[in-house]
Amino acid sequence: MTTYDRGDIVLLSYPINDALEMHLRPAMVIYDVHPSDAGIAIVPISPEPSERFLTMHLPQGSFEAARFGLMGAGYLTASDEVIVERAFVVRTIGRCPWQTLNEFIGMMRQPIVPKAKLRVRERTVAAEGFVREAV
Amino acid sequence: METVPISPAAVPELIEEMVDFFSRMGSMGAEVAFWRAKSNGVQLAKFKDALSRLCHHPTYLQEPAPRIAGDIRAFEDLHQRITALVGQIPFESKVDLIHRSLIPVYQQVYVLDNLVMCLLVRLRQRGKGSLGLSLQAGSLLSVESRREMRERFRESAPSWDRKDWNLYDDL
Repeated sequence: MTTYDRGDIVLLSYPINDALEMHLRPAMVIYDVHPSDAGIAIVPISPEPSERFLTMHLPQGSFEAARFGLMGAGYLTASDEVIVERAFVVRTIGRCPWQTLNEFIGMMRQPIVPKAKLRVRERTVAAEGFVREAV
Repeated sequence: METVPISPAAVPELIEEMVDFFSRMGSMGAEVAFWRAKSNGVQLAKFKDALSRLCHHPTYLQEPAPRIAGDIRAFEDLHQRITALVGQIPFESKVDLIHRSLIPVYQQVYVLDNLVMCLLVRLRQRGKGSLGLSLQAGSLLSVESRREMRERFRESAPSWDRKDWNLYDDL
């Protein structure tokens, strides 16, 4: 049985609708459990940035996109990994460069917090005691 | 660097130039060739720029079918040559043995390989007049398991349903 390494870029067979139609979609392997187990953990690579999760942009014509084997600009989504059955994985098309992988794993660990409001520092009025009178 | 807008009519000439370049590089042996000529990096960057422009060209993919058929054959030949060169590049295993200044050159070759593949896939799809062939393997799976699979990706990849992402069906 084929095993995968963290950072492998694979094509998944993905059902678009309830009909028999399946299409291939790229995803990155986060970890592969023991070959005897049926599932592997992946994160999707999408054509649009996610509104909910942090995403890493892989522009077309960049070395990263080339090593990933992408056919256009893509976004690596730092969502929780999704476990899929091994049977859905069709084949490997590329590999994530290790620097990018490290950066992405860091993004996955980063908690998503809503943007804090910009705090405007109040203008402090000098206390009377500290104001020196000109003599 | 000077950037020249590329017209679809100039594509055969560009491909010929690239085939010539990669044949020469392949025959010299990747490492030796890259060690010898710094100007190769400049040439690779020029090719990359031209192919990137072609990928985003507004009318190139609307060219008549016979023209596209000719370009497909030429790009296939070019892709074979670049793939052979990429096979020779010891980027993964012997990276420590290569001079650091050469790494960008190797990266350019990977990018070119990717861009040519990308153009090929798009041209083939255009030639067929459809956006990708769907697989019929879904019959092996129950409706429930297909729904469950979609549900798992609904949050993290809602844009996976987009048709233009069907490019990968032809890989």
